[in-house]
Amino acid sequence: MKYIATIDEQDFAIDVHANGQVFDISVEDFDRPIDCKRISPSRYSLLIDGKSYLMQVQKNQTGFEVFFHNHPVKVMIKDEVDLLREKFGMGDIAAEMHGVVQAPIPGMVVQIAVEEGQTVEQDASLMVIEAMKMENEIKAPIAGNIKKIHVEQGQNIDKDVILIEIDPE
Amino acid sequence: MFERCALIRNLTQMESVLKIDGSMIRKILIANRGEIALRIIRACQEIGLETVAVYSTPDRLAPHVLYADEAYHIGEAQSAKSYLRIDKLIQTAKDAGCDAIHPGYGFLSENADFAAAVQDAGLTFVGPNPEAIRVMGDKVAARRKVKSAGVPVVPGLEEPAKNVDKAAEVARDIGFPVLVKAVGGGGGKGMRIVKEEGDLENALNTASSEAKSAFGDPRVYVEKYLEEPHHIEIQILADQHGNIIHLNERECSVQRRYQKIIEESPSPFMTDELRQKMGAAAVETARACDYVNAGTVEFLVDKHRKFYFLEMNTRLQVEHPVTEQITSVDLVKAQISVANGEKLLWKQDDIKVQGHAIECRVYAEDARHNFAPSTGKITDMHIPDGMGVRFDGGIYDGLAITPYYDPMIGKLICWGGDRNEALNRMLRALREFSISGVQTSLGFCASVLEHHAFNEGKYDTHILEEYLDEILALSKEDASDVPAGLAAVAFAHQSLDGETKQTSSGKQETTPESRWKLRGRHWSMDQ
Repeated sequence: MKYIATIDEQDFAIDVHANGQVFDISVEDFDRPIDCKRISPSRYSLLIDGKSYLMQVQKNQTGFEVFFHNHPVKVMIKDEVDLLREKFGMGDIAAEMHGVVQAPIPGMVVQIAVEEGQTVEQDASLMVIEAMKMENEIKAPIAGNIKKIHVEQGQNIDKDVILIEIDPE
Repeated sequence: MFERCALIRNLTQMESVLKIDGSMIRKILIANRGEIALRIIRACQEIGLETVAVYSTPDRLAPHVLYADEAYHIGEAQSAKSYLRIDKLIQTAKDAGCDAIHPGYGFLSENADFAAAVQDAGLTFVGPNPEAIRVMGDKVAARRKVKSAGVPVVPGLEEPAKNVDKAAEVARDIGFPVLVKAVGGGGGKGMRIVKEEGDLENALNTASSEAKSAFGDPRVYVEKYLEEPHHIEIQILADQHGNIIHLNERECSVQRRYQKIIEESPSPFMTDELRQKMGAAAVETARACDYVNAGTVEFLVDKHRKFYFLEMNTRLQVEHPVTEQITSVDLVKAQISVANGEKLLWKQDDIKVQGHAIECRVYAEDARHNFAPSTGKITDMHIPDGMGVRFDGGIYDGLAITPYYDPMIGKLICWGGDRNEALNRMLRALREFSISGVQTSLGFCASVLEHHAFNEGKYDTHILEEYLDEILALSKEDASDVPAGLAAVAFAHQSLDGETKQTSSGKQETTPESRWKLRGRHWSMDQ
C-alpha cells in the first residue's frame, strides 16, 4: 500500500507491506523491515536493523504526534483515497470557520472585553480565560463584527467550546 | 567516605524516628493536594504518624486521597471553596482527632491568619509562628527587618511608592533599569521592569492594578534591577531552642515569568566563600524574625557575586528534594520533629555537600504553544527509575488533570556524584519518561539541559528569555532512522486502532527547508 506520511509538514512517500506487526517500509530510499510492536496504549517498541527505539504516539485533531525522547513530531498518514479527495477540493470550510472563536483551553471566563454588535480589529482582545492560575488572552482571529457571544463571565468552559462568532468585514 | 557519612546519617534519622514516635504529634491533617500532599503523607507514614487528607470534589481520585489513612471532602473545585477554607480545614482536623496540620506549599501555607487559627484551635501548626509569617509576607516589613539584621537588600524604596514623583526620584537615585514590585506579591504578578523614566508611570499603574486584583493589595515599590542576576536560595532549619542551621543553596535561575522550572544544588556559580557568607546571612535573617521550622531565604546574586535579600519563604519549597538529595536530611521529617519541640539533630558542621542534584518540574503544559496549560486524562505513562532517580508525583494512568489548580504534576530529581553525572542521569531519565494524554514539559526540560548555557553552568535568570528560541529548536538528532520510525509508528497506530482516517483540512503549508528534510537527507546519506 502506498501512503504519504507528512512529517513536520514535509511529505514522504511511503510504501508499506504489513506482515503481522513487522512492516516492510520504504520511505523514499529507506527500504528495510521495521519491527513495530505496541507495548502499551500509546507506546511502541521499534527494532530497525537491530537498533531499538521507544516511541510514544498521541492522536490529535489533524493526525498524530509521535514523540521520540519526548520531542514531538507531527505526523499525518494519508492513503490514496485521501489524496484523491483532497485533489477535488474539500476546500474552504476552514476559512469560513475563521470567525468562530473556540476555547483553546478549558478554564473559566474571567473577563469579556467586547459586546455583540461591536466592530473589532484583528488581534483585538476579546476575553480572558483563566486556567491553572494563568490568565490567557483570547484575541480576534479576523477583523469584523461581533455577531454573537456564547459565554458569560464566570462561566466554566471546556476546550473547543465556541466563545464568540465574528462576521468578517 | 560517602558511605560512612550516609550510614551515620541514616542512624541519626532513625534516632529521630524513635523520638517522634514517643511524642505528641500522632495524627496530621495535610491541608494541601497534589505531589506535596503525597510527599508529606509518605514522610508521616515512614515515622508512624496517621495521616488525614482533604479533597475538593474533582480531587476524589487524586493521589493524596488514595494514599492517606483517612480522607475527607471539604468543598467544591475552586480553591476558595475548598483548600482555602480555614474554618472547614480546622473543623475537619478536630473531627478526625488530629493534633497537627501541615500546610504544604501554596494555598494557606504562608497565611498568618491560618497559622494563628490552627494554634487557637489547640492544634500544632507544622511551620513557623504566625508573626514570622506576617513579617516575611509583607515585603516592605521583611526588608526593614532583614536590613536591621545587617543582611544586604536590593537598593530601592523602603516604603511603597506613594506617587510617581517620589518613585521617579528614587529610580533616578539608584539608576535605571528599576523593578516595580507588588508589596504582597509573588509569582511575577504585579511586577514590571522599567528601562527608562518615561515608562515608569505606566508601569506603576499596571503593576498596581494587577497586584490589587491578584492579592487585594495595590501597593507597589521600586528597587534596583540587577545585572545578570542569579536566583539563589538558602534552605534553613530552626528549632524552638534557638538553634538555626542552613543546608546549602539551591540555584533556581531557570525561570519563566518568575516560575521556576529547573533547580540544582550546588549552584555552578557558587564559591565556598560565598556559600559561607550567604549561609550566615540566611541564618541571621531567620534569627531576626524568631523563625522556627524549615524556611528558605531567597537572594539575588549579581555578576560580581554580590548578594541581596529578595524574600523569605516561610514554608517548605517545591524544590526541597534537591537539598534532601545532597544533604541526606529529610526536610519534612525535620519539620515534624521541630514542631514537636525537639532540638535539631544536626549542627552546622554536620551538613555537607554530597554530590550534586538537579530537579525538573513536570508541568502539564505545552511549551510549543506558549506554555498553554494542558488538561485531560493521563492515558498511559512510564516513570523512569534506576540509580539516583527520584520522582515525587503520584500520578497514574487514568488520573484526570483538571484546570482548577497549579499545572505542576510532579518533580523529577536526579542525584550524581558530580554535576556532570547528575546532568547526564537527568537526561537519561527524561528520555525514559513518557506521559500520554496531556502535554508535558519533559521535552522542554531536556532541551534546556542540553543547551550550552545550562550544560556549561553559565546561566542566570535571563536564560529562558535570551535562549528560548534556541532551546525550543533543540531536539536530539541522534538517530538517523527516526523519520521512517515516525511514519511506521503513526501507521501502526492508525491501523491497529482501526480508527477512521483523518481527512486533511485542505491547507497545505510546506516549509522549503524544514529540519526534517535535512534530517531525512542526513539519514539517507548514511545508508
